[in-house]
Amino acid sequence: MRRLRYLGAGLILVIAASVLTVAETAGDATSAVDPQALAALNRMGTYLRSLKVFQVRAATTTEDVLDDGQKLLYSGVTDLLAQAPDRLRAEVTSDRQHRLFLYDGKTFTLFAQRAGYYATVPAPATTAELADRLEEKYGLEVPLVDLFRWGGPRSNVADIKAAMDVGPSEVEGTSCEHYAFRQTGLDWQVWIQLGDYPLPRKLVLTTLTDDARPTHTSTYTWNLAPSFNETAFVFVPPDDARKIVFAEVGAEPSTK
Amino acid sequence: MRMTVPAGVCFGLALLLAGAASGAAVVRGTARTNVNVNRNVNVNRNVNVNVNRNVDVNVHGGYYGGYACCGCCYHPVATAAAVTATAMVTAAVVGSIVSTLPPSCTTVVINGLAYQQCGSTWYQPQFSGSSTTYIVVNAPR
Repeated sequence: MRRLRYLGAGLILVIAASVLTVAETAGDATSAVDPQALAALNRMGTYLRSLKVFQVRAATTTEDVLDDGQKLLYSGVTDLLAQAPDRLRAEVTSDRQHRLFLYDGKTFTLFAQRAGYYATVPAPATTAELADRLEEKYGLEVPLVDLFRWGGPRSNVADIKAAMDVGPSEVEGTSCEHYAFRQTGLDWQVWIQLGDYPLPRKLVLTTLTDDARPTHTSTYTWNLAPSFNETAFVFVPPDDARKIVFAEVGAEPSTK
Repeated sequence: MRMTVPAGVCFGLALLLAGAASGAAVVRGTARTNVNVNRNVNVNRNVNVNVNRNVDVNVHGGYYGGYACCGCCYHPVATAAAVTATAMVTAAVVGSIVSTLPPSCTTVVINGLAYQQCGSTWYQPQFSGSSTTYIVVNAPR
């Protein structure tokens, strides 16, 4: 009798364990990472890293959330010219700002056209390192920085908790495959061009850390054979421009 | 709950522009603009989490992006000092940061760097992220 009782208890444990296993499996299934979606993302990253030079125009929208949850949408355009590994020119024109980012492999300059202010600092050897340095030291984000991180060491592919292939989709007449990903605090979608040139054509980010879930969108127009010369990356300050400084992240305010 | 990150981290993007009369609203956050976060950025360093600033939506100096969650929107303005109201010429504290200058300032270039002299108060323009702000400094000469 006692043995039966043990057996019964054991059976219950086994059943409970099975239920738990099933539940876990079900949980995994709902947050599954489709390996093909990840493979497509990696292929896009590898392709981006293989480009020696590119020009891209991104039409962007970004939402702000007001204290009561109301959202405001701001639009902008970023024109970017990049030559691997160490040349960058990006012009950001939005409702709120007009900025020119210039990197010639030796120095980086940010120019605020309307205000007539610019700041120049020595720069590291590659655009990817420059992006890291600017963020770490000055809290400054290089425009369209994902284009320089996918396929590289700063790619966040390992953070992806869910990945799915949504299906075919057209972005401004270009045939794409639409993929959706989930990371902690962020849902995002990318439309990757079909065929031999797996470029991102559209990117949508939904921030989950705010109940209002503000979104950021970018629609890209690519030119993989731009014409330019070296002066495109060199800053020549206009006569009326004034030099200023970058505030450093975490630095005490200057009191000199 | 609005955000899981320290409030000031994201709210730091909002600059107080008390001088503006209309459209004043508090921005509590913004959409994250990049997927791949630079992990070396410590978003929590020296952040004043208690600042919750007003922003005038018409005058908002703007900023390019920021990070959400795991890196949301930290900003040198938030980390360096509280951004205070539009400067009052008579009561500017050295080290305070404003996003707009009082009227009647003169641009003065000293050692190649621009300053703004507004009465007896001197401001040094700077980039805080991609936004221009002005920090009150002692007279540079």
